[in-house]
This record gives sequence, structure tokens and C-alpha cells, in this order.
Amino acid sequence: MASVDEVIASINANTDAVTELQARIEASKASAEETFGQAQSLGVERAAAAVAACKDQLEEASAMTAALVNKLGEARSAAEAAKQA
Amino acid sequence: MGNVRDLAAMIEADRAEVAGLSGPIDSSKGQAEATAGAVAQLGIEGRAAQLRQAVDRIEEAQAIRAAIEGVLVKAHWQAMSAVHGTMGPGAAKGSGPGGSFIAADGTVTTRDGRPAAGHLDAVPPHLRQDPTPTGIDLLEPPRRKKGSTLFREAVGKGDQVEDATKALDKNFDTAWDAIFGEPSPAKAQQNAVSETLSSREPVLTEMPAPKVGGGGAVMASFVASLVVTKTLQPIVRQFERISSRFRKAENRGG
Repeated sequence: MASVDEVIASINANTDAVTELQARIEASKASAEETFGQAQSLGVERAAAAVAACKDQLEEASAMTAALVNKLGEARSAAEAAKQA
Repeated sequence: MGNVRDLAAMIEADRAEVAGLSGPIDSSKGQAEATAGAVAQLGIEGRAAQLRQAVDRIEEAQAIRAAIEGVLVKAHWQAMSAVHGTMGPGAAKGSGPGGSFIAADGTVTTRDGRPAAGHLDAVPPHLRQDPTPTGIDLLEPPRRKKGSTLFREAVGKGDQVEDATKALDKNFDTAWDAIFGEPSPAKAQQNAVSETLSSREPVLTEMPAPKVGGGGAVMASFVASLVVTKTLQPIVRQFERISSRFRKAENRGG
């Protein structure tokens, strides 16, 4: 049987992994913005539109990753409350 | 478009990492569930309720993780469509690189419908351009076959039956000879001789016999027995009827 401390440690590890993931998604988003600028400067409208859509998706993914971090924080809070009760 | 390819590779790596988080999150949930169950067994309901809340939050986190994976898949498709043009069923005509269009039959054409240079036609022109046969066209050949072809086939089958009958006759004669040690009735008939009594020397005259095979003789005897049975059947029935009437009359008289 896992103790409450182990549950909290597991949730913390997941939170750290998701935070790292959020940083990577932000890096991808920055790359998408750069590519979008290049496509616009070259006048490749169709490719620029596709990259812009890609950038929007990455922004959405980044926001959802933040929500995931919050949700894991709530889970950790609940586990800590169980420990102190 | 090297940068777009790099971007697509980055997004794909992010998606793989999100997919890899599924296991650890599930593991956390399992740990929390087991702990909540154990605490509830100990009778500490307040702590068990808090841990069940933690389980619910982790489940929600797992749902969000799956949604992020889906969004990254869409982002990857967008990046790839920036390289190759719009892909998939929704691809519009002329959306490919150089304005080419990939049709459902696999042919790559230019905007004006001509085959694009450097692309092989997946389907040959005679198959692509010929009209699609209708159900009536597909059914036509068997209909034509029914008349003359079936007659020809029947004639062919008749020859086969004749050959088989000849082979059966030959085998029948051989088998009869082997089993009974004498020629079969058919052979005996063929070899039949008649003896004529006279004051002169006996004259042996060979009788020309019709060529009847052993199988034919068996069939002939079978048919003859059938005829006899059919002929005798009404007579026997009539006899039974008369005898039953006599019996009834005797019973009344007695």
C-alpha cells in the first residue's frame, strides 16, 4: 500500500514533467512564429496560413498544459489535506 | 521550407512526450486509489474522502493530457500541410505543391486537368476513360451463353457419357470373368452359337449378335424387372380385393 507521502511525491513528479513539457511547447510556438514571419516575408501565403494555424494550435496546447499543471496542483493539495486531517 | 519541417519534428516530439505522461499520471491515480481504500478500511473517513478528491483531480488531469495530445496532432498536420499543401479528404484542387492535384484514383494532374510532369499514372488511361460497365453489361455474357453454348456443352457431355459407358462395359466384362470364371452374359451373347440337327454333319453357324455391353445387359434386366413389377402390381391388387370380399362374405354367412 502506498502512503499519502508517496502519492504526493508521485503527483509532484508529474507536475515537474508537465512543466518541462510546457517549456518545450513554448519553444515550438516560438519556432512557429519565426517560420510564420519567414513565410510571410517570402510571400508564400498558403504556407504562411498553415503555419499560423499551427501556431494557434500550439498556443492552445500551451494553455492546456498550464491547466494541467493547475489540476495536478489541486490533486496535490487534496492529498496534503488528507495527510493533515 | 526546412524550418517548417523542423517545426513539424519539434511538435511531433512534444506529442510523444505528452503521450509518455499517460503512464505516470495513471500510476499516481492508482496509488491514490489504493491509499484511499486502505485509509477507508482503517475507518478514517475524512482522510479517505480527501484522497478520493485527489483521485478525481488526477482523472481530470489525465483527460486534459489526452486533449493536449490531440491538439498537438492537429498542429503537426498543419505544419505538414504547410510543406505539402492541404492533405486529406478536404484537399482542394490545386492545393498541392506547384498547384498539382492528387485525384481519388491516384493520378496527379495540373490545374487544367492534364497529367502533372514527373508523376506516374496509377490507373492506365484505358481503364480511367472507359465508361463504367452497368449491371446489365455485366450480366450479358451468361445470358448469351444460355442458348448455343449450353447446347454445345451438353453435346460434349454426351460424348463423355458414351466414353464412360464403353469403359464401364469393358470393366464389367473383365470383372465378371474374374469373379465367375466364365464370360459375362454380354460376351456369351456375342460368342453365342446355334446347333442345327440334321442328317448331315452338324453345322455350326455363328449367330451375329448385337453388340450389347455388360452394363447395358444389367440395365436391360433392371428395366425388364421394373416392367414386370408394374404389370403384376394391378393384378395382385385385384386378387387381394377379390379375396378380401370373399372373406367378408364368409364372415357374414358365418
